Amino acid sequence: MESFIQTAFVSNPTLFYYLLLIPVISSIIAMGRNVVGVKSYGFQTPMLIVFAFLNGSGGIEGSLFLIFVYLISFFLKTYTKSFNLHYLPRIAVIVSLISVIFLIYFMFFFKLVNISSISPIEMVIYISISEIFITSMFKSTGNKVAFLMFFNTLILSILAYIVVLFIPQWFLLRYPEIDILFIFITIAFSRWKHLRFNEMIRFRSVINDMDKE
Amino acid sequence: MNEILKFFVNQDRMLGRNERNLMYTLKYNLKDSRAIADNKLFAKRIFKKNKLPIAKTLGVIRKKEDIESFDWSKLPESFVLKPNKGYAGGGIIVVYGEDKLHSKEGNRVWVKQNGVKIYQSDLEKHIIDILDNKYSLGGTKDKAFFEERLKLLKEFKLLTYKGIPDVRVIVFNKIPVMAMMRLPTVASSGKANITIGAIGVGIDIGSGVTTGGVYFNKPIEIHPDTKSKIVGFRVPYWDQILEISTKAQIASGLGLAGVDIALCRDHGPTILEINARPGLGIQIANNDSLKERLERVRKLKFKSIKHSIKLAKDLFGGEIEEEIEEITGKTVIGRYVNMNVEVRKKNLTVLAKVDTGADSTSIDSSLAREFGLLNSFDEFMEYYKTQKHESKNIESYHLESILDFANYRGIARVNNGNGTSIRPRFEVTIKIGNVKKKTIVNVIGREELKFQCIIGERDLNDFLVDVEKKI
Repeated sequence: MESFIQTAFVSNPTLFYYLLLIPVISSIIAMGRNVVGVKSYGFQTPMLIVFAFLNGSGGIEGSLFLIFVYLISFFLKTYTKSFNLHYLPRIAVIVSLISVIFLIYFMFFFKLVNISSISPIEMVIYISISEIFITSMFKSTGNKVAFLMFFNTLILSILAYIVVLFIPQWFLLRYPEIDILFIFITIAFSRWKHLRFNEMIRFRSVINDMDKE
Repeated sequence: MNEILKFFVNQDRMLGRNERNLMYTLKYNLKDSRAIADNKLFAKRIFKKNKLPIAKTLGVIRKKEDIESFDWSKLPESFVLKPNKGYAGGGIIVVYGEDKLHSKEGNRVWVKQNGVKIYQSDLEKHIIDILDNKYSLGGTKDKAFFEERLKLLKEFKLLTYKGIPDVRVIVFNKIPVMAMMRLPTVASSGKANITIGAIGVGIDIGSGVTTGGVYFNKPIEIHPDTKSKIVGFRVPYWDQILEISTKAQIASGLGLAGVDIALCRDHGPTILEINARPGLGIQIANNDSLKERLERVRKLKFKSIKHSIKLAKDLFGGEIEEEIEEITGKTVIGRYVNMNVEVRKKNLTVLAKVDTGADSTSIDSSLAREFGLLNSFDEFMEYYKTQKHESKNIESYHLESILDFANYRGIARVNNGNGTSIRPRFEVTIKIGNVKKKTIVNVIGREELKFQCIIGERDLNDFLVDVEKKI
C-alpha cells in the first residue's frame, strides 16, 4: 500500500504536494478567522495568494506585487469615477489596465526583476484578484476599512505561507497523514464558540466592568 | 496576575460572533426566515400583512427594462432609493427636495442630503449599478426600490448630525432583551451605521432612557458634533417601540432578531429593517453582556405581547436613575424640585421649576424681599430709569437703601415676548439635592409667577432632567 502511494506521488509530486497543502492552509485561515478574528476576503483569496507565493517568486516579491496591484486598483477605481461607466465593465476596464501596466513594466524593466522566476500563473492570480479588491472598495464603508481588509488578508496569507515553508514537499509526501491532524484542528476551530481575540480587545471595557456591580 | 485571570474568566460571559453564529443564528434563525432579513421588499410585505408600520414603497425596479418604463413623474420631491439586498447602509441615496428651477419632464433634478444636485440620469445609473449587484450581500441578484423619506422627530434635532437616528432592539424568543439608539455623526456622514462612526447609545429597557454612548469604541456623553447631551434622554414612543419590535420578530419567524425602528415625525415608529445577525457592539453601548440576557429568556413561555414587554422591563430594566447617576456623576431631577436658597446665613427652601429654556436662574421679588436682597422692585425700576446712564459705583450710596449692595451684581437685560425687561442680579448660594453652589440669580418683578423660583440652564450643569420624575 505504502509503496503504491509513493509511486503515485513520484509521478507528479507538485500536484500531490499542492493537494496535501490545502487542508493545512485551510486550517490556518480558519484559525485566523474564528480564533484571532482576522477580517479577510473570505477563504479563496488567501488560499490563492499562498499558492501564488509558492508557485512563483516567493513571499516578499509576491507581497510587493500585491500591494502594487492594490494601489493601482485604488487609483484606477478613483480615477474612473468621472468616466461614468457601468459597474461590471468598469471592473473589466480596471483589470485590463492593470495587466497592461504590468506588461509595460516587464517589457521595459525586465532586467530589474528576475523575470525568469515569475510564474505566469502567479501574475494571473495577482491581477485577477484585483476584482476582489475593487469590489471590497465599493462595498466597504470607507477606504480605511477596505485597506484594513486587504492588509489583514495579506498578513494572513504571509503567515500561512511561512507555515507552509516549514512543511517541505518531501516531508508532506513522506508523511501525508499529517493532513488528518490538520483536518481535526480545523473541525475544532469550526466548533469554537469563545470570544475571538479581537473581540476580547473590543469588549475589554465591558469585561473589566463586570465584577464592579 | 489576578486581574488577568479575572479578565479571562469574565470574557467568556460576553457574546462573541462565534457563539452568536453557532448557538443562536444557526439554531434559531432557520434558512427561510433568514431570507426575510436579507430581502427588504419581502420583509416589508410580511410586516404589512401583519399590520406593522413600514415606510411606503414608491416603486420597484426589478430589471433594466423597468428603468425605461418607470414613471419618473410620480416620484415625490423627497424620497430614498435603496438596493433590496444592500447591507450596512451601502448604496442608499437620500433625496431631500426637488430643484424646481432646473427640473423638467424627462430629466428631473433633486437635491441630496449634502446639498449636491442629483439628476434623473444619475439615479438611472445608480439603479443600473444596483441591478449589477454592486451593493448586494454576497453579490446575489438585486433589485432597486424607492421609498418615502422618513422625517426627523423634533426631539431628535439636537442628537443627530443630518440623517435620522434609529433604535435597534434585539428580540429573542419573543422578548425584547437589549436596545440601543444609533445617532448619525459627521464621521458617519449622516448615516446611522456604527461601523463608520455613528454613536451607539445604550437604552434602559425599563424606561427607554439612554444610559451611555459609544463613539468609535470609546464611551461618550456628549454628541461630538452637536455638543448636546446624549445620556439621560427619554426615547419617545418607548412602549410602542418594544411592542412593534416584538411583533416584527414574531412575524419574521426569526428566533433572534435585531429590529431597526426609526421614529418619523409624521408616522411615529416605523420599521426600517430586520436583521438575522445583529451586531454585538450593542453590548458595549449598554455595558452589559447579551449572552446572559439571552440565557435568561431562552426558556420563558410566551403568553402575550403585553406580558413579554412587562417581562422585559422587569428583567432588564435597571434602577435607571441610580445607574445614570453612577455613570454620569449627575443627579437626576424632575421638572419641579425643592431648592434651598441661602443668603447671609438665612436659609429658605422653595419649590422651583426647572426651565432648560432659560439661561439663568430667576427668583421673584417677594422672595428677594424676604432675603433682604431687594426691598422694592418698583423703587429699583424707578431708580434705574432715572439713573440708567450712570455707572452703579457713582450712585451706590443711593442704591444701598434699596437693595443689598454687597450681593448686588448689576443688571441683566432679558429679551422676552414683550420686549426687553430689566432685572437686578444678586449672588446667592443654592442647594439642590446634595449639590451646593454659588450662583447669580435674576429678580423678576411681576408677582404673578406661579413658582417663586425658576432654575435656568446655567445652574443645571450638574443635573439630568427627567420630565416624568416626581419631586
